[in-house]
Amino acid sequence: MIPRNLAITIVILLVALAAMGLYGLHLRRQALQLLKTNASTKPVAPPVNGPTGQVTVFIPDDDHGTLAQKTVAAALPSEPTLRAREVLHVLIAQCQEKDSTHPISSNADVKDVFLVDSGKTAVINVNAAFADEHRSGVMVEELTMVALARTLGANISGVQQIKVIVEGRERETLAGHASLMDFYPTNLDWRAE
Amino acid sequence: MQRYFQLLLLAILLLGFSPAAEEKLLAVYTPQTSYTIPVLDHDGQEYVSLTDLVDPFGTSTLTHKGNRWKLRLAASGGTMEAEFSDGNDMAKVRGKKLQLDHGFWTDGQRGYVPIGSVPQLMSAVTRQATDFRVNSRRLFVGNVTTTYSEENSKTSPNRLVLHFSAPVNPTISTEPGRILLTFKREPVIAPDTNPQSFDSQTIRSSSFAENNGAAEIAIATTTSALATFSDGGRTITVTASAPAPLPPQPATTIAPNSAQPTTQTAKASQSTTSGGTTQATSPPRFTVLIDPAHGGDDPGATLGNGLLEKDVTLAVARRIRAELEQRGINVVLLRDGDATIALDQRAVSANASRASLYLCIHATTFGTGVHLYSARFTGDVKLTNRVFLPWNSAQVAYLDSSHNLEASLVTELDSRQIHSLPLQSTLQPLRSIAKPALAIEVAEPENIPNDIQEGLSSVAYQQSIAAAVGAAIADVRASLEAH
Repeated sequence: MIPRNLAITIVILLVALAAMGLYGLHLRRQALQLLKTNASTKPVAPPVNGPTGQVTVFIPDDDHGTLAQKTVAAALPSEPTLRAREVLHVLIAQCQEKDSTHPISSNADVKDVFLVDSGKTAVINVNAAFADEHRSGVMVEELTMVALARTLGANISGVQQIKVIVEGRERETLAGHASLMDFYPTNLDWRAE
Repeated sequence: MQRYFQLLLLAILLLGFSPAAEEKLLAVYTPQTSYTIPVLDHDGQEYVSLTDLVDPFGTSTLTHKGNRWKLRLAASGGTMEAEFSDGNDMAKVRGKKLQLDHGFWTDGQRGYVPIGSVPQLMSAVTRQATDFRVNSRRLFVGNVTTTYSEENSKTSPNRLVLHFSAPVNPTISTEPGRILLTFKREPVIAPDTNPQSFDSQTIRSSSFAENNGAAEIAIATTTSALATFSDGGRTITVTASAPAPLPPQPATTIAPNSAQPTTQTAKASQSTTSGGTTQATSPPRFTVLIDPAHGGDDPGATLGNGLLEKDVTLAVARRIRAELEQRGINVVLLRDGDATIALDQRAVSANASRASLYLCIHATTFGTGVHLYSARFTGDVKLTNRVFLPWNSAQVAYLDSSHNLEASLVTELDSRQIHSLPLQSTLQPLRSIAKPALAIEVAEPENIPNDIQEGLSSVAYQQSIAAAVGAAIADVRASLEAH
């Protein structure tokens, strides 16, 4: 015959064990969820060194077909190609924000910017996700291209036109509509907000 | 070894030069519209795309859960639903069972029905009687036939006058010894007497035949002949020249409805007077070339609820065609089915055609109303030579006319309370088109509650846009013809 107090102690311990087990499972699920939301295939950019400056970005609005000018503070390197890439990172980051008026895939990134033709032409090398995961449509694609051109033109002096390549290669269109075989002038006229 | 190599080379050459198999087509004639769709072979049977088949009646969506496929057709007369199972020959249309000839076939997001079951299916969908001519793959829905009679005059020059019960617009080919009228859109049926012989020196006989979704009237002549239209397209007069020895002429084709017109060495003329008198050749009819963007392997954007951009562009293009034809304007669709056409190929076809105007249709769920695009040229692009136009800037010479059309479209859309947004784009093949050209991107409706609910699928919304486009083109027609 097991003494009554011993039986009560065993029951309490078993209940506590079960409760701790359930709590452990709950924590595990939470950790997995956190891991999922933070997982990103986007390459980690090297830390940017340089004084903080004002970057003028042109944010597209898909609903109205307009471009809105905005000024954002960001650390900008002095080397022109790195500076140009950082400027575009700022633009893309704005579009990747929650409630963006022109959402761009969280995996999209600008890998390199090359300044050629005495700095008059900027060749922007984007990653595959930038084009593959871009939403398809004449206006949404045009807006992305115009935003890239206008933003670069507003921040990097001397750049007159841009050309976009994907993973180092030419592609016919961004996502089925806007031509990537063409140069886009940085002074392109587009409807302002 | 060398012998095998020679045989292999010969086989490759034979394969390379063998004529491409003619695309199989099914023609559907209804009181509202006539259209042809491609026929595919699968497991030794002929199939047609379900959405291609019913799309001209409204806006269709084909969705599936596992192997169960559901077709929803929203038309002006209401909504119809049909269910199919992958590989199963039993379907359900409007809640009633329908036995198919063979199993329902699916490929990707598209569903196909055996051609033998098309009459029963269309009868259930349209609630009208159907008459299917199996050998020629011509399906008549409702009472839509066009009959004709022949009248041979023995005057000099000898004439054969064909009187049709409705306006027709056939492709006319002439070759030594005969003239061939091909009817791709008209439900022309054989006359009471077929074939018919004439007691004439120059026009000997005529015969009617139907094949691969088209009807043909072949007129045997001993001299060269010319076909002219009159009475609003209800009468075709074939006039043979006086009998005299003529050098053989190369085969020529006049294809007002062909997507890829060929070089013409003979001219068809269109008489404006009734009575069938032959006139000197007059300018070709004003024709609009409509390019429903994407198609085939290129679905375009996914517009939600399984709706693909390529299907919406085709539906809108067909509505615009109907609107323009009502206004007496000839229309050619660059694709009237689910065909894959490269961008450069579209430009080549457009530039080779006799069309006076090129219109490209796109669709999107971003923004509202209709976005209008003319070609964007940057830098100092100038036209220096009108004979040879650069491929990438051929449109420069026609930008003014394109902008005139754009302005007319804005006016017409505004008058129908449809928001319009005129823009410029690098969208191809706009810049390579050597004629007035515009791209139309149909976005979501914003004003009418019912249309907003149905979005791009709204028949009324698509129809309003088509009517605006029809009116706008009719408005600028005179100035385009003068250009």
